[in-house]
Amino acid sequence: MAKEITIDIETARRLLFILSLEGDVKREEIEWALGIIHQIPGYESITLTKAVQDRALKEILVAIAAEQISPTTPKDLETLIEDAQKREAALEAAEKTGEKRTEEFIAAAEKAAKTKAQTKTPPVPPEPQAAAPETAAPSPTEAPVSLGIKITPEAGKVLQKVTSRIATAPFRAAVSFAGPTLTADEPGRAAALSLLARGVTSEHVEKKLGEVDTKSQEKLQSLVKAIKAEEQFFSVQTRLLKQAFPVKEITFLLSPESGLTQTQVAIFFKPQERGGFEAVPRRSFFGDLANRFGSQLFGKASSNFLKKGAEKVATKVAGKVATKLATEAATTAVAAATGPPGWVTKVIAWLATEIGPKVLGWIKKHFKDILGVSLVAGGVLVGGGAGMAVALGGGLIWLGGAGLTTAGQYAGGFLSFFVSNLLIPAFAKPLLIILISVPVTVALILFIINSGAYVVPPSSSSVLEENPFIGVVKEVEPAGPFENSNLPVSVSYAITVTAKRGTITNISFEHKCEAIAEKGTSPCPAPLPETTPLEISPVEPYVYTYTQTYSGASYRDSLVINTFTVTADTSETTGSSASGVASIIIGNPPTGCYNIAGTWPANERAAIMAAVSNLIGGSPTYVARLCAAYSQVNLYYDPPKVCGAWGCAPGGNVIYFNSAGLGNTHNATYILAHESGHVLSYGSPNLYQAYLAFPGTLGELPVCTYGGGEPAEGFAEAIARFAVGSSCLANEPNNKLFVETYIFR
Amino acid sequence: MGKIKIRILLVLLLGLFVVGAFLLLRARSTPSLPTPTPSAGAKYKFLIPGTSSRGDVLKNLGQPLNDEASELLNFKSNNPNLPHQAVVPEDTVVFIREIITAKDKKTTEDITSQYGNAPYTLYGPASVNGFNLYVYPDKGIAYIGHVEESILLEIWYFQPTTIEDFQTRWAKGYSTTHRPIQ
Repeated sequence: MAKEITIDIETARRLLFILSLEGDVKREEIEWALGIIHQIPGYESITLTKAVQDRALKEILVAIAAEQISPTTPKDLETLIEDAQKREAALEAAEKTGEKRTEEFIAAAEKAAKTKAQTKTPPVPPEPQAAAPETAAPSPTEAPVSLGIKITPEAGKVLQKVTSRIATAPFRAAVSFAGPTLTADEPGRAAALSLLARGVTSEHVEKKLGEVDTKSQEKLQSLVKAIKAEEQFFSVQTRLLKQAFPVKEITFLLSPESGLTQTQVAIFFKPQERGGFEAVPRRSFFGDLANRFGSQLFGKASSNFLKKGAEKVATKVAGKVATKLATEAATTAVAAATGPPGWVTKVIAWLATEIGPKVLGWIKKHFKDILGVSLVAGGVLVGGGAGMAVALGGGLIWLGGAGLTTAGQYAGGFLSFFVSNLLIPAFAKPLLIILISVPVTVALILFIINSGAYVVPPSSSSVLEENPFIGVVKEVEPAGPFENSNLPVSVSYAITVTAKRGTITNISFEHKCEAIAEKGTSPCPAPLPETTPLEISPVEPYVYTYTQTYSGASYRDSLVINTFTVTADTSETTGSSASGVASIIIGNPPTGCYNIAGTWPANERAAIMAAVSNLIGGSPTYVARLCAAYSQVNLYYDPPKVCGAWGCAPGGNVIYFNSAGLGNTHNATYILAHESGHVLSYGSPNLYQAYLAFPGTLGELPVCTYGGGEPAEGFAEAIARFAVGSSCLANEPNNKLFVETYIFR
Repeated sequence: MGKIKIRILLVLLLGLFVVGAFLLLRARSTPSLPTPTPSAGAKYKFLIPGTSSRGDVLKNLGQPLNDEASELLNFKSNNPNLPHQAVVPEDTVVFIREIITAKDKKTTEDITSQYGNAPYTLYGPASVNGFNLYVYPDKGIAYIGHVEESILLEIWYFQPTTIEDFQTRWAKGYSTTHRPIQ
């Protein structure tokens, strides 16, 4: 019989730490973490990616770490740890001998963890962890976005990385905490500093300029200039940051097709009205907490430091700079901490009452000592190599200056107390230092944890999944849009079929064309190739081209959608299918209750019109339900108002878009369907109530990896996935059944 | 001599940290804001948070789905995905969460007709779908309901308190400003 064992606080904290790093840890760490997580009822086969995204799991672990609950696991935790330790030696050897990439280690670790999973205990519905619905706290004003940056890290020397991260921690803290303030005043600098703090230099951005269009290039040039200016001002920090966060390359992510979910993008940018970019760093669970806490305490002060710090820093000697900056930044920060929240307020208030109004001046005077205590305490509490390094570093910083002398004085003061019973004078100063150090320590610990979470995890999953074996791309030239007066319209189509992993065989083609117009949907010519290839190999894609002329009244004010589907056997599957879609707009196709409002760039307008027509043609019942709720749904192109990565339905009958999700008809349809889901719920709340109570829907969250555990997002995502025919919805059968029954039928 | 000083210093630091932690805890346990005098608030099936006992909860709501000695008790609701919940830290219930489905035939009007319009609105993850948290802190009741229609998702019962205390204790994921994230 398996020994019952409790997940202890330390283990829960370690698990949270590993999850916060999102895979940027050694394979054995991941394997160890998954080994334990898999013993929690309801998480028997969760992957690392899903675990990282699962807010409920983190809440369980936070609850354990806070001693709120103590769930037992059916397996022996000690045995798991022993197993992990045994594997460690073998893994170290493997890492030394081979150039294996982290992705491979993670994939192998996940596979190993799954294989090891013992006979599953009967599924137990996850017990709510807290009394009140602990729904996710909204992130800090996640800004509209149109460009994401993925940072691919480069392997570096571990010790060098750790020491450099510690040395640059004050600078990065200042950048992070100053974010909102600096963004409001100087968005360009904020963006440049955000990138620099992650090790991205002007050189990295400059190298990639050729990959974006001319318009974006101009904006990015200004970003490059801004980074260069910061590199000059903060030359020492730049050198240390390069060592702390060695960057192999960066990738611009221009659409959901990039293959990364929102949580996997290191930093987002949204265009500024006046040009340039405003950075919106993507933060982890802990990162968010740390930054909110830090911003409230140190935001203004950090901003001032960054604004004033440049000249000072340039003149300092490398070795002294980190200490100096740490002290200056933190000193200013605490002096400015007039309105911290919660228990911090109580401590400050208590101090102010007990000690007198001059206490802040005293704190400022002794801040170097407070910082020293914080670094030592923070390092010890965090534990591990990095933590001890912080402790040691902090201790040296502290004791290396006047701190040692002061420390001696404290000791002397206490000895005096013990000898002469003069309690107050000797006791007050060190006590105050310790008390003030506590909030600083907490901020420091959270920041250290957060530091590891900036790196994009090596594994990725696509927002819009593609067939992993077969690629089908259908292109049309000219793409239009066309006026009714252009009829008859003659266009050329090119279809390229690619075998992605290995040769595909037993191939069959299906070609479908529909013209969606006000009067209804009618079929249109969709020729098939005269011969079908017996096989398609990865080295030689199959290309089929044809020219089609559309003429006649049935094409007036229509959307012509062509879908070419390939079904084939691969080495791993049989009957695998993939489709390529191309569409053209002629005149003004029907838009139902959708109103394409405001000003739209030509390409985006064409994309959203195609998406609207696609949704009307493909999901008429869904659109009819939407139109029953609102006689008009207004679609705006307004990137600053986009509250997610690709679109935003802030409430009521309005949806905002940016360019990122409108790269092709498929993506545009997906985004439109998702945001329309929010609008539908807003206008027909009984549907959302029914979704919450439909058996099994909430247990399947997140739907196709998106939206975490939030039912509101699950509702919209299930609709969107169904609308575009995502195969992943097969893994969420209850969500699929619900939308099929109540939304699309 | 220097080494001795450092050692003494480390010992003192450790001691001071403990003292500091003790004083902090003491400071925390003495809230700076005056706690409102607990008074009887809204009740759910004769259960009044702050007054009713664990025995009362079990008597009125029946056998819980989990261990009846738990601090958080789950009870069957008409929603197969979400149970009614009662928080009973020791022997007194302090919070009850009632899950509403269409079968329950309850609407927001049942609450507003009795208590008037809620003085506070908090925004949470369902706000993008039109559902906000409406709070009557001094009445000990709150509900998650639709912004335009009378659809009701949940009713929360608690001891009458201030809105700040309510947010801190029961609505951590909610904000006074609407910040949609999608």
